[in-house]
Amino acid sequence: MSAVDPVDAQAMRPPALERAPRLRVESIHHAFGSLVVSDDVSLDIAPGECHGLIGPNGAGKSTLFDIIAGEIIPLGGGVHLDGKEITGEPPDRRARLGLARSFQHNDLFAELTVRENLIVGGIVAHGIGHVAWRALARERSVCEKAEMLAMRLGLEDVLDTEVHTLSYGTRRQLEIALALEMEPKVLLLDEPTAGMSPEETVHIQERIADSPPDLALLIVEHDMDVLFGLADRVTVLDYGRVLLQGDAEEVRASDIVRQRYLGTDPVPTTPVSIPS
Amino acid sequence: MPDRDPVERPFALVVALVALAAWVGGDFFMHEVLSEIAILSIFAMSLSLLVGQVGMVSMGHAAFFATGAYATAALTIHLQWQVLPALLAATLIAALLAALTGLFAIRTRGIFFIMITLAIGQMVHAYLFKARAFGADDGMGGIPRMDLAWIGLDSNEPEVFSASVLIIAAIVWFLLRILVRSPYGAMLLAIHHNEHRLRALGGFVAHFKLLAFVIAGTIAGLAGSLTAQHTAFVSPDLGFWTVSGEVLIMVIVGGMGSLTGAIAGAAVLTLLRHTLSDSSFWQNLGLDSGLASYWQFMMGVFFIVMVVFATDGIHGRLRRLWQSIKG
Ligand SMILES: Nc1ncnc2c1ncn2[C@@H]1O[C@H](COP(=O)(O)OP(=O)(O)OP(=O)(O)O)[C@@H](O)[C@H]1O
Ligand SMILES: [Mg+2]
Repeated sequence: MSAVDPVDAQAMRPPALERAPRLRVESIHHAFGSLVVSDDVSLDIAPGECHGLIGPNGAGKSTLFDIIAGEIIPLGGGVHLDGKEITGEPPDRRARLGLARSFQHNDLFAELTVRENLIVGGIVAHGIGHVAWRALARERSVCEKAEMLAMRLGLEDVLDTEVHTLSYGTRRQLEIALALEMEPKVLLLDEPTAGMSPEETVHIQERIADSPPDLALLIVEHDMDVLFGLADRVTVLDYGRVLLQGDAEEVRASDIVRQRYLGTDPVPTTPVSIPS
Repeated sequence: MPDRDPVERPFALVVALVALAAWVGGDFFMHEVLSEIAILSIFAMSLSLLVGQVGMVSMGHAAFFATGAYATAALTIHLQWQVLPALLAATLIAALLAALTGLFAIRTRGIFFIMITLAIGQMVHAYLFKARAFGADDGMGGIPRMDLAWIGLDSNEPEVFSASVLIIAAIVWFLLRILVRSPYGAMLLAIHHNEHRLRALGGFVAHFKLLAFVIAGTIAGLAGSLTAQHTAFVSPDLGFWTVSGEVLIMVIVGGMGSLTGAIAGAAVLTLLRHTLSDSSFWQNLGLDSGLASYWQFMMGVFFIVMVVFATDGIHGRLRRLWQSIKG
């Protein structure tokens, strides 16, 4: 059934799986009332590996992100970062341990400018948030880094524009930039390209692709081209259950994914996920 | 944040010049009023840090004001401490109370933060109202002022005391301005705008908020110690919730988020109170002098007008004026 020679596919991937996992998610169970949103979900992500997460609306993808990031404490199961159990840790602790995320729905400092958003991120990344006796303007490295980052993202023209006045796609770029600015070990991206123009999508795809080589990446994406362009391994989630998990090529070749996501009649999960 | 506020500095300069002119040209009564304004300015600036910068609307800030005042009274009268060490100790005691109560208060947000701070304020008031050791509902009198003989001055002279508290207010303004413009100040602003995202980025949100609460409480305690010295008297009323409400109104009238605005708010409200409660003011307008006893009602009208026509306060007005001139 496989369209791609599995031996070839094996050779293309870095030997990520042999290394100890950066992020280990172990038989997570969670429910909102009687609605089961995570039903024995497990996955491992090695350093340098990109793990794709797909599934229909309401499958529990964002909830799994919230569980990994610490916004939701699951009813069962565990989350480990670099072999360290972090299941009960609050979100800010996890972030400081090297776990960054972007949100499905932009969650920015909307009344601040792009520059100020990036400076806030820079202060946290540099760990100088307690410095109360020195002017922020004197923290050259933070201010310059914010400008550099904006430049790389093509945001230099809107540096001093308040975020809420920007286009959706631009805000989306900033959403991801803030997560990348933390220079994390593990990065969770929840539908990074949703609502972006094709050019913006390509741009952000490049930015994600040239993230540091040992970054462990977990990505939810409805655009299958983007997803399979990045992912080494893929998990298919449905009603909180893992329907399928494996190497990207295996999953891409599977009947379920071909029918639902790649077939001539793909399930319209979001309006922007039309494969080009 | 990289200079968000072009009017703060010129505004502060104008306020400083007005204060200087009032001090130089002021009579006995003016110096009393100046002292009162300077002390309330310190109190209002401390609340402005919480409300304007972090977005924590406290309705119990008078708790720390009263604590500073009572600690000064108790240390100088019961224990015969010198005033300066008593002032430092009183400020420290207010800081400790802020740390203790802040541990609980900062866990809440919005209306719940308002409720818990209101409760803290009322607890302090209720305690002082009943505590025999501190004069219960009679309060305590005869509190001395700081000893300035070492620089050859007598702080019982109104112009000496007013100069002292004006200088302390200026120092508080400078220190808070440094804080607001520091990386820590940016973290406080980030909490104000999106606490959730700052936490997701890894910011020590709870520490930052607790620290802000303690700094604000400490400075309110300093203001309390100064007011005890100014009036030589403390009463449980200092901790009553209406005092917390009044200082909040000062911050709002001055313009939230501006330290100078807090000073202006304190000045405007204090002067308005003195004017409206003065029967000769109404007589000069050709009106019934009995109106003076309705001054609180008039203040209410003023406050409503401010909220309806200038929600961003004096500072916000100036800022919009500056923007319309510029572009
Ligand atoms: N806080 C909550 N309380 C109750 N139900 C919730 C809560 N959050 C999410 N849900 C429900 O849980 C289910 C899973 O939601 P989740 O956001 O994880 O789905 P998703 O896979 O990210 O979907 P989408 O593709 O639409 O983003 C949905 O049915 C949602 O309505
Ligand atoms: Mg989702």
